[in-house]
Amino acid sequence: MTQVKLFQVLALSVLALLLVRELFELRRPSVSRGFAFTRSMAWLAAALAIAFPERITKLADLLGIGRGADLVSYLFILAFMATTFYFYSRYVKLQRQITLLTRHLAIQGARHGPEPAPPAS
Amino acid sequence: MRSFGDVWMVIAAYNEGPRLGHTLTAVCQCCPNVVVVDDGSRDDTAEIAARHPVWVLRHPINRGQGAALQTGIDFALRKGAQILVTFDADGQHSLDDLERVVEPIRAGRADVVLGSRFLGQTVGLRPSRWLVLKLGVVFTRLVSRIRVTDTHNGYRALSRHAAQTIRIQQDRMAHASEILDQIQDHGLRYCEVPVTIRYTEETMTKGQSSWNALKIVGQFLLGRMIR
Repeated sequence: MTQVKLFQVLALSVLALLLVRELFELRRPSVSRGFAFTRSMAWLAAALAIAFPERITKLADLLGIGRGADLVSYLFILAFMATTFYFYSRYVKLQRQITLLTRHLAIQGARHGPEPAPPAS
Repeated sequence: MRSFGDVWMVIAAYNEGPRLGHTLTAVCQCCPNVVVVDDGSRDDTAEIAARHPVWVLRHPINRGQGAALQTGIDFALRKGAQILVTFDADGQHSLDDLERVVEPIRAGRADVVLGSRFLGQTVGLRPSRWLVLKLGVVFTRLVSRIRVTDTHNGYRALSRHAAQTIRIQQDRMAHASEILDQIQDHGLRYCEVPVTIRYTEETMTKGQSSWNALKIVGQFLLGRMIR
């Protein structure tokens, strides 16, 4: 049987605490259940990868990557890129909403200079 | 100079206090329908505009030239505008070209008329800016598949139909590329006419730096991906 390393004990303890916290969060009505569930799955996946590194290495072998750590790194980079693009997209949409609001206020507050306004056609 | 009673001039202005008064004095002599959009300026741009017989709209916060133009266009359309002209606040554009810019719309030959400094003239254009503008032409031909000689010229005329069709979502300087993109996408009829652009030390200092072109390209391409 593989000897449990100190890092595994520490990391799994932290992840277990996070999972427990998510379970409590899920009971609160104001919390988005989908988001809390996604986070729980991420913590669980991390815990499994840390608890059974040899399985990850086998999976990496199957995919022709070599080391399990490399597979985790690649997955992390992909997740990071997807998250970055998602949040950039959200940011752009939020900016557009701010512009629409600004435009609405500007048009509502339109005023004409000293001479009478020309009749609108 | 003849009157342009059928034209609505849309002028986006950001911190243009020192230059706007002169521009508006000239514009108001020939055009009774003028919309100035003060894009959240920190100076007295709005106050100076309000001294002239023009409509003044104020963005409470700065949103960029593209956003300000769309605000002015929306307002002019609500007022029933049939022909809209976008015009720079800093005096770079010449009113002598206005007749040439609106004529194809009046004649029904085009939905959009684009001013071109490369068909017309430039006064005081630096070589570095010339190079950036030419690279912009090549980029636009590749990305937007539209053959124009000048891609970032703010002097343009739109028919009511074109103004209703084109929606500027690029709030900042990439709006010029976006307009060309939409002309092509919506199959709008367009033509270019020669115009004169006058650069001064002041306008060159306030204007976009040549390096900013890269930022504009990035904003345009990323914005294109997000609908």
